[in-house]
Amino acid sequence: MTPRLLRRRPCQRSGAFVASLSVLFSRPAYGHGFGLRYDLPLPLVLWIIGAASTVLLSFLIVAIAVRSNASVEAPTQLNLLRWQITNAVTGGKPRLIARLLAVAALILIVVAGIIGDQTPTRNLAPTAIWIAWWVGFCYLSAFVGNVWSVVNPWAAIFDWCEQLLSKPPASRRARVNWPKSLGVWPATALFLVFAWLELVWEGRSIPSQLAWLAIGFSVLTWTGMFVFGRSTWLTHADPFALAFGILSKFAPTEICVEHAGCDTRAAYGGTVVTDRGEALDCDRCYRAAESRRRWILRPPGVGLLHTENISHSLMVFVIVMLSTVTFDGLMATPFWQRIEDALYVALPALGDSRLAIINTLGLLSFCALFIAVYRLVATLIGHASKKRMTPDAASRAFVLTLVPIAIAYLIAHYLSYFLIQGQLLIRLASDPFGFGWNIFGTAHFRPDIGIVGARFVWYTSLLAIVIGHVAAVSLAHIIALRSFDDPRLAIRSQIPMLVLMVAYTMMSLWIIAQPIVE
Amino acid sequence: MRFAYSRRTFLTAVLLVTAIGKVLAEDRILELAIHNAESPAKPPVLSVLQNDQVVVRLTSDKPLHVHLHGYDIESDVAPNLVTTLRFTATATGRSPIEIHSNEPRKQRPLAYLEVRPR
Repeated sequence: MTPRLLRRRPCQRSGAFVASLSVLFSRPAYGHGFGLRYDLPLPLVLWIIGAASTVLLSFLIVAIAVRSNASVEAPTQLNLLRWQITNAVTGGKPRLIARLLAVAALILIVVAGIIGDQTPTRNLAPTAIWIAWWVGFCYLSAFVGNVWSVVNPWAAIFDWCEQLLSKPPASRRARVNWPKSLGVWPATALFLVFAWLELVWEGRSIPSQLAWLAIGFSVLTWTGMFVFGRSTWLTHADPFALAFGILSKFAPTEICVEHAGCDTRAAYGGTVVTDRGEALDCDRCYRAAESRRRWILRPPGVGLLHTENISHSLMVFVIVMLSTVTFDGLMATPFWQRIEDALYVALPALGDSRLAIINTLGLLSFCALFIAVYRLVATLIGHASKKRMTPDAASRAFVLTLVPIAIAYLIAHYLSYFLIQGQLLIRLASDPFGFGWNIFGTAHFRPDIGIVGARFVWYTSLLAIVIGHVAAVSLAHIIALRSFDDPRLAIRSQIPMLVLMVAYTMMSLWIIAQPIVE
Repeated sequence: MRFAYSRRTFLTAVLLVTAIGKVLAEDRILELAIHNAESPAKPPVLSVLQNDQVVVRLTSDKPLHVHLHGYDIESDVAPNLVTTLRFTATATGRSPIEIHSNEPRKQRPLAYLEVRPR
């Protein structure tokens, strides 16, 4: 322990630390998944700079767009697998090791949750699930690539079982065909459930409850994969594969696998199918044909221009995802606190679970509000395009352009939380079950809350939000130019989207300018 | 009128931020009086600058346990005795000072400590 850390705890009461932590978490703490946030509100002057540059840059992009009517060229791509070193890194063996590690981590988390100490900060499960896995993989997906599709432990276990049990390993075909009308609605519903668990559920920081949830999710996932086929389940019903997949469309890398020797190819009448990394689903094709694998380096964000496969339900999934992330921030503001207080006093009939009910309703109405507003914007785009695009087509074409704003907000809202609360993992690595072990000698590590200063957090947040906004406006502009042959019409049709994006960015800025209330 | 308003606001918690002289300009003293183990309706915010010496002096009419999050300082508070928390505000951020109790109801923090960058 450093002297500085020692000075932070001048009280005589260190012996009571463990006992008091259990007391701390016995009361419900409403807000994001787990742990406290110590962010200072964004100062007014930075808020004004952010707001002004948001509006100014929006106009600048549109002004430049009016003048250039050049067609949008395909972005430059580089296949990283042209070098031996990258081939070695992404080959079968490293992938197997990564998957084994992920499976080991999943098992460790579940076991820790069930048999370990139930104090949230002394058990690996809450920190590993909410901070390392959920926030960590959001960041990895957005800034590296779809790492989750490579390491997904549920998919890995299913693959291995399938290889062991079926000889020859051929049965990739679904036992029941996925109903077309179902789209990705199951994933959307499951994502809403997940958001509720993260934001409202009282048991979210209790290790054993999290472990049982993980077990339940495993049973659901494997049953679904068995019945509907692995890749169908991952692309239609698994909320995490889908969410990380959407975030990774922004990422600078993408792994593509061509299905050359499997049933997927047969299902498409013998033609080679390229899996664009949504669910790197064909273990056999991945391992078999190194030449059919590409690991593309591309400019960040261009993946969001692939809007061909966006169904109506996927559009709703994206909006639900964005709205729950924003609602997380809203819940910690004094504004929401006042609403909560007012409703708490006004609705005594609901009893002890009032707060949970109020927050559940808040979450659902916030989602509904986002969907309604987006729907309205899509209608306006349809109207502005002189009926060349139906509102439904517009809502599907432009929905991914909102993703950069959400990613920027993920940085602004979670970065310091991730860096501060994430340090708990250093301690938990030595004592994952809270049994008093000290495997790596780090069991007494105390998180340094000064690891990032307020200025660093402010400037990073502001920069992220402004850059995210610029990316979103530019992407929407490219899609508009692609959709309408007339540049003037493209600009006109973009105005509703631009207004929505400015409003969404302002909201992100407003939330981080609010003092955090727990 | 102003006096009545102050009294009502600080009925359950009294916050006094005092700067004592030029020599101790960087010592920030926060006095927190807790009545009946309750938090005030609107928790006061103690704003200090980074690296200030902070002294929190707590009094309570009931025995309780308080915890300053972030800096992770906790202490028992005995009735009718002044309990002092003393530390250097090295890290910026906003951390709540809370009463720890077994009561399941959501309780507001006693106060917030806001450490602003210099």
